[in-house]
Amino acid sequence: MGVYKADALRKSVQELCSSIKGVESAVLETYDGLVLASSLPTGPEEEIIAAVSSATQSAVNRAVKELKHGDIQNTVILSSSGQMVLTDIGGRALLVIVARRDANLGLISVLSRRAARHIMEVLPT
Amino acid sequence: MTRLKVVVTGPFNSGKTQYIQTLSEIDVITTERKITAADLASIKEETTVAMDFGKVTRGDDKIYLFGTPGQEHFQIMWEVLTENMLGFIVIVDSTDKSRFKDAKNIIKFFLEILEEPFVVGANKQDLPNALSIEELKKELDLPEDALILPLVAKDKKNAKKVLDLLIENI
Repeated sequence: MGVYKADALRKSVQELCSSIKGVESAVLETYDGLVLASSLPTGPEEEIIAAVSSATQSAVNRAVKELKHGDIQNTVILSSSGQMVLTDIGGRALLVIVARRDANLGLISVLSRRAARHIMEVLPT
Repeated sequence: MTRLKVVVTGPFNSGKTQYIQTLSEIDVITTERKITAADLASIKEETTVAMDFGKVTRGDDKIYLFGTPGQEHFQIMWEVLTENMLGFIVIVDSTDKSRFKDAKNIIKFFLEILEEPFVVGANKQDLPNALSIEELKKELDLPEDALILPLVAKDKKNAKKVLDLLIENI
C-alpha cells in the first residue's frame, strides 16, 4: 500500500474517532483479520480487535446469507459498559468503532457508513 | 516485515488451544464455553466455540495464529477463519484413535477449499500410549512425504519446531 493511501486511511479513521463523543477507537481491517489503519498505537490491542471482529462479522454474515437477507451492512454489539459497531466496506474491508455505552449509536452508524464510502474510494484494490 | 496468517486446527480435545497458548507472546484470546453434551463433558469442562487468537514474532515476521473449534458443528468457523491463510497446522491427539476419523475429515475439508501447505503436529507424545509418527501416517492416510512432527503442545521448543517447519514450507 502506498504511503499516500495509508495516510489517507489513517486520517479518515482518526477523524471518525474525534468527531463523535464517546468513541474510544476505530480500526480499519481486512476480512481475514489484519489491521489496515487504526486510531490506536501499533500493538496487541488493535490486532486483537481486528482478529476477533472480522471473524464475528464473517460468522454473522453467514447467518445473513443462510436467511437470504441480502448483504451484511453492519453488526452492532451492545454490552453493559460499551458498544462496538462493525461496518462492511464493499465486502473488501471492515470498519470497527469501539465506543462507550452512552455514545450515540445512530450517529456512529451514519458517520461509519459515510466514512465507509470514502474509504472505498481510497482502499487499494 | 511480513504478516503471516496461520490456522491451527484439529479434532476435539487434541490440544489446539494449548498449542497456541504455549507459542503466543500475547495473552491468547480464547472463546471457551462450558460443554453441555454429557459424553464430551466427561472428557473436559470447556471447549473452543469460535476461535483462539495468538501472535508470534519470528525475525522480521509477525505470525498470527487463528485456532479453530474442533467440533464439526462449528464448521462454519473453519471457513471463516481460513480466509487468506498461508498455511495450517493440524493438531492430532496421538493417543486417541477414536478421533482419527475426525482428523482425516478435517484434513480433507481443508484441502478441498485450500491448497496451502500444512503440518501435522502429533500431540501428546509424552504419554505412554502415544502412537509413533509412522503409525500415525498410516492411521491418518497421510502420503509418504507429508509433513508430520512429534509434539508435546505444552513444550515451547517442541511447539516452535512444528511452526518453523510450516513457515519454511510457505
